[in-house]
Amino acid sequence: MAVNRPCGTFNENYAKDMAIVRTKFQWGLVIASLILLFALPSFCSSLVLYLVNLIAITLIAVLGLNILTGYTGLFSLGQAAFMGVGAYTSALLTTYLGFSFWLALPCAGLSAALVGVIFGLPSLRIKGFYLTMATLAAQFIIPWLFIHVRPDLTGGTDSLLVAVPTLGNIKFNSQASMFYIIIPTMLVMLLFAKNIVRTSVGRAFIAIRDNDLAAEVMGVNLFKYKLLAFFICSFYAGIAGSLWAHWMRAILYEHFLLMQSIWMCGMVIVGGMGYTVGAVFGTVFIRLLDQFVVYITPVVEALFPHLVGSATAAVGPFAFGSVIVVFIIFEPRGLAHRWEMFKASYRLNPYSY
Amino acid sequence: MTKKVLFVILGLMLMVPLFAACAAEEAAPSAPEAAPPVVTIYRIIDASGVYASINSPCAAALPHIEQWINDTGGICGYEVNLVDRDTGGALEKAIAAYEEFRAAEPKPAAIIFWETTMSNEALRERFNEDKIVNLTQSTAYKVLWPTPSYSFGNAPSYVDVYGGLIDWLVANNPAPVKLGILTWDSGFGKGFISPETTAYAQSKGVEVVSTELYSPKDIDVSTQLRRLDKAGAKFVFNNTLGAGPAMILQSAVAAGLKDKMTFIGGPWAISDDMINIAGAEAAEGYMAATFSFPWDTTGIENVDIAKEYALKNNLQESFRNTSYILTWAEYSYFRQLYERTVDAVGIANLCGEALREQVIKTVNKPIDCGGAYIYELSSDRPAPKRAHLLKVEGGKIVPATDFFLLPDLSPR
Amino acid sequence: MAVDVLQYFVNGLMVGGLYALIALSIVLIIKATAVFNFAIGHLMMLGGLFYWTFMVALGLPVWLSILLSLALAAVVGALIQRLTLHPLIGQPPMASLMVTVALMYVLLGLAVMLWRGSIMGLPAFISAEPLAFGGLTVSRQFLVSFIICMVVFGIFVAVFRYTQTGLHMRATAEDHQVARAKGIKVDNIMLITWVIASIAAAVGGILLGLRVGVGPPMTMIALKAFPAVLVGGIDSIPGALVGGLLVGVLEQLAGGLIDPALMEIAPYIVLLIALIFMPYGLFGLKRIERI
Repeated sequence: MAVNRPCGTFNENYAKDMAIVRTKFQWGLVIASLILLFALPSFCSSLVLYLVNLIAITLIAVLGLNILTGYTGLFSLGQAAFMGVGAYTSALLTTYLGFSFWLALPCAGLSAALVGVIFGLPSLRIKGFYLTMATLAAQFIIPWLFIHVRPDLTGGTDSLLVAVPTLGNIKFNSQASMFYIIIPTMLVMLLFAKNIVRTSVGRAFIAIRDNDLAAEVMGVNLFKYKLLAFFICSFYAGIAGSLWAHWMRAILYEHFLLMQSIWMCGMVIVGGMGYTVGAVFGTVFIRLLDQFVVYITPVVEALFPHLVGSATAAVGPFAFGSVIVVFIIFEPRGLAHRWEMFKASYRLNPYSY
Repeated sequence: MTKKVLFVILGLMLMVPLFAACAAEEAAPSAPEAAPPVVTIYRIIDASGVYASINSPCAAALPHIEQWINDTGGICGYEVNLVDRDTGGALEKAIAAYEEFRAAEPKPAAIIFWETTMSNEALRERFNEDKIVNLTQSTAYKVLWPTPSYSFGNAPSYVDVYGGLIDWLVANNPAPVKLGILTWDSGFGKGFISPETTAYAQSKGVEVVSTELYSPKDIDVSTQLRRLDKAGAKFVFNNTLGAGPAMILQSAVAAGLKDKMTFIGGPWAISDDMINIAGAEAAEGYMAATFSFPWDTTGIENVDIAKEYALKNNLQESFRNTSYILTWAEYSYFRQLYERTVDAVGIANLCGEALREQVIKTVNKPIDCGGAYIYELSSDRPAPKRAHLLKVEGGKIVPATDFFLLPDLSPR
Repeated sequence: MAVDVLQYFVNGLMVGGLYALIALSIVLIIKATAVFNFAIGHLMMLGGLFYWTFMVALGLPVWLSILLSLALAAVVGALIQRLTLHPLIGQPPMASLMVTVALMYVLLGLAVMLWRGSIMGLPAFISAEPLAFGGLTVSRQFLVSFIICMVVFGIFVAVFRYTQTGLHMRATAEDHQVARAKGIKVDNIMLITWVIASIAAAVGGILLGLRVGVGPPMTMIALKAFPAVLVGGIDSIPGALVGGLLVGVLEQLAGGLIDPALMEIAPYIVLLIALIFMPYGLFGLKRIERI
């Protein structure tokens, strides 16, 4: 850690030692980027705002998954389903019980967290692949429940329409207005994620990841902490789900299927497991790549005018997959790993060590 | 060393879409300043996802149609630019495409939506708020209603088609007609089920003996067919497409039930694709109520033009099918819709509200797509109301009836 | 009633045979390389598309088309292993897992690019007429494909059990380092495993293609084999067989006797129960370890 500190900055007390933002320059950067971030809606197109919102919501879910997977070492393929639990909770509460969005949001988080804990129970007996498969079962069972339990309420296989959040006279029905709900929530969740892994809870998680037997010998209560990891992970998913529901304004079980879960894992891996900043990198990278490949099609069409229809459309998924394959081959430890190395070499420049 | 080279390649691969994005950004807004205005018609389509097999010919038809419209005078003399955006069937991309198009300059009057029922349900409210007409391919109950809205079907609605099939069954078969339903467990598959259609079936004396569901993942539905058989179904209705009806037909052959039942389907159920998958033998006798024409139809102006342009552009053999012909009919309707709007309010005022006015007016002033189809929509009944039956005979699709009026099963 | 139960049971076996073959392909790769291959559905699709190309587009005889498409599938499997998974040996296993996910997109893109995304029907080389045994009707197509699945399964099991390569494969699955110390070329074993798994997937693809047509939608069917792998035990070859058949039978019985809506979910409910009471599946290797 010490190596990453700017020259001349000393930690004079514990609070300073633990601070995330250390120097005046860093404070300046943080404030400037926050101002820039919150000014985005004034000069960005709705497509850009849509992408920022999409990335922020995905990021919340990925942050939770990163705590479970990256820090505690429990792999989950059910994050999208837990997100669905949050989304449906929030939608049902606001539609049928008259809750406001602001109250439904934490309720969604809690209900998803409870469901997550239930599906996390097998983690006490199994680990590795088998645990992944238990969460895979969750990924299939939960959407099925959305369809078949009370389809009169959930709409079954039809989308359930969700009301937009309101505050006084303001209706949050555009990308720009939702931006001001989604981004602050994301920032709070990001700070929370960053901090939780620096507490005793976070150290217990890391101990379990590195060697669960040793952790137990040291007095870490596996039962408690594994379930706690599931709780936090699905709580994040639930919050993301609630935001998703009120932002998308219609939800359906198909929004929360296996592919989404797999991609959330992919974002954790591409970003770098066990780094909070990795979750950010991974989410931004994959979501933007996914959008950019859309623009390849017109280029291919212009280059090969005799190719039409699906032949050019398929270049998109092909490029998307290839970039990720090549990326993982060269950066199997994720972007955050490269970022750490970059930071270290920047600090030490011109020396190598 | 090789690592570095590969990094450069990776970097270049990433740059291509970046440049493309920049190029697309630059190209779009600069056009209208100098040159006379160009009418851009946007379409959101799933051409590389699950619907790729059905939609590929529809995507291939687009440049041909653009050529035709511009060859024959454009829209009231203005050049036309037809834009396609592929989503691969992903909800995120469908909405991204929508957000991009709605912010385009000038703001589009309509967006043609050739996508899943799911994304359409999510976007329905936004179309209304942005006052952009949604010309949708997904005519499910929850997409078109409640009215008034900005969503209008390009095809007869699933509820009406179901009603029309009930009429046809009652008129051509001795009572009681025992109907079984076997369809996909999805918003599209069940898009025809509504209180009105259930009541209509009852009032006509059609007994719906059982409703069975399956998923596109299933490789055998003989279990469901056996249950229908036990319940006494003589007709089996499905609202699926592509591999969906093929699966039912093949399972029926495998379970030895093919001759005991008649299989009928909704507006997208019959296609050359389906016959390909099921095989001519299993598909024989399958019927669906729809509005498209088979490739070898002659004597209809719109179909003739479509075939002429397909041959001129060397359209590949496997795309010469109903989907291609259907795309032409629909675009002929879109063209006339735009022409009427431009005539009414002028090119400068071309907007969603004005276009919607013209769509609603087709109830009194129908749009004829060069003989291929007649569009007459109203605010309360936001989908066209005619269909004919197509039938599979000897591995080919042939029309089995003339166009007839579908009953109005809009919710009241 | 009894006839119904038997009918659904037999139906389930027929469907389950295919699941078992797909499960075998997944299990083989897990055993040798500890990677769960999510791209299995896409490998199946490629196998089917190769067969279609040789058989329909080029008009070759059935046996030659099958041989050629299996050979091509083997080449694809080898290429995938050498180009994408080989460089990842020694890296976190989840990186390899993600590569198989990304491969789904690569293979889908390729298939749609080269074959235009159409679903192509395969001409049936087996008569579609059903066979009747007393009150039971069995699809001839399904029966033949069931037999083929079982034969292919038998061949692979025999290779695994009685040949030297098989012995080496088992040793590699047990422990890479020990195997290497004993002079086994672990790299080559992994390559062979991928080749065999691709061939199994291609056989599955061709058989499925006869039923549902070859094209992108068929990739979804692989999802059905996941619970089969898990119920049987993730690293057990007999487990793949039993798991596949069990999932098929359960699905058809639940669908036929209770409600077709249960068809999709029944295997997963069984899976969850199995995970709680028998965490390592029916035949999985039990790791004695307290966690």
